[in-house]
Amino acid sequence: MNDWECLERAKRGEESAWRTLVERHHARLLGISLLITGSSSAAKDIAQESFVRLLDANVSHREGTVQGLLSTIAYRLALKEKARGQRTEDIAAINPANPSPSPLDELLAEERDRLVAAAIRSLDPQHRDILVLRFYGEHSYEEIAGLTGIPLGTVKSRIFYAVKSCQQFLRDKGLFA
Amino acid sequence: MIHYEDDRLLASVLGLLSEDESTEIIEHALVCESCRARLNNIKSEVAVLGGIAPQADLPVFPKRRTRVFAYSAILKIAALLMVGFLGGLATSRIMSPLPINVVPAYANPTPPPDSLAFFAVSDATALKSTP
Repeated sequence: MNDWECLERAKRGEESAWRTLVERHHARLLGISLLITGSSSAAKDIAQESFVRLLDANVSHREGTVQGLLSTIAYRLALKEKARGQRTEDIAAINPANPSPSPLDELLAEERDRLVAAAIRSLDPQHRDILVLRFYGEHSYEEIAGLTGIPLGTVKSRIFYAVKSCQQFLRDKGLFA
Repeated sequence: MIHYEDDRLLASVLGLLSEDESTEIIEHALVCESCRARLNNIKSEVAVLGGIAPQADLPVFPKRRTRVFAYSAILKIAALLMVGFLGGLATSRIMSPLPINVVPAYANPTPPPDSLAFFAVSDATALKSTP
C-alpha cells in the first residue's frame, strides 16, 4: 500500500494505515524537528502534530509525496517553535568525551548520531535548514527554493558549504578520517 | 592520469553538477582507483550526515471520532431546536387564537360572629339614639 492510499484510509479512521504511515516517516520528522529546534521534547511534539495535521489537511490532489507534505508541515512547525525559543537543549554543546544524561540521549542513542546532530546544529540556520530539508525532508533543490523563498543557485551553494562544514566538524571530532 | 578534486566529487554526490559532468566523473571513477575510493568515501560521509535515526515512541492514533461525534451532536441539537422553534412559530400563525374567558372572583367574607361588624348599622344608630 503506497503512502497516498495509507493517507486515504487513515483519514477514514483506519488505524493500521495510520500506523504504517507513522512507521515509515516518524524518524525523519523527528530528525527535521530535532535539528531545527535543538529540543528533543519539541521534536516529539512536532512529529506527532505533523501527522495529526496531515490527517486534518484537505488534500485534494496527489502531487508530490506524502513524505514531502509531512516534512513541510514539520519544518514549518519547527520554525514556529524555534521562533518561540522556549525549548532548546543545545546539541552543539554536547561533549562526547564526558557524556552526561540528557533528554537527547533518549532520542539519539548512538554517539555517532549525537556527533552528527552536533555538526548540523553547529551550522548557522540558513545553511542548516537547507541541509535538513535536503537530507531529512528529501526535497529537491527546486522544492527547497520554493519552500524557503531562496534562489536555486543560493540553495545549491548553501548545501555544498553546509556539507563541507559538517565534514570538517566531524573530522575534528574524529568521526571522519 | 588526471584526478578530480574532492570538491568536484562532493558536488557530484550532492547532485549539483549537470548530467554530463556527473556521468563523466562516474565513468572516470570506474577506471581510476584513487578517485573511486574518494568518491565512495564522500558518498558514505554524506549518507552519515543524512542518516541520524532518532528513536521515540510512535505517536498514537488521534481519537478523531470523538471530535466528529461532538460536532455531530452539536449540529443535531441545533437542528432540533430550530425545528421546534419553526414548528411553534408556524402553529401560532395557522391556529386562530382561543378566546380568553376571565371569570372574576369576588370575595365573600364571612364576618366572625363575635366582632362588632356583626351588628348592622341600624343597630348602631339605635344604640346612639338611646338615652
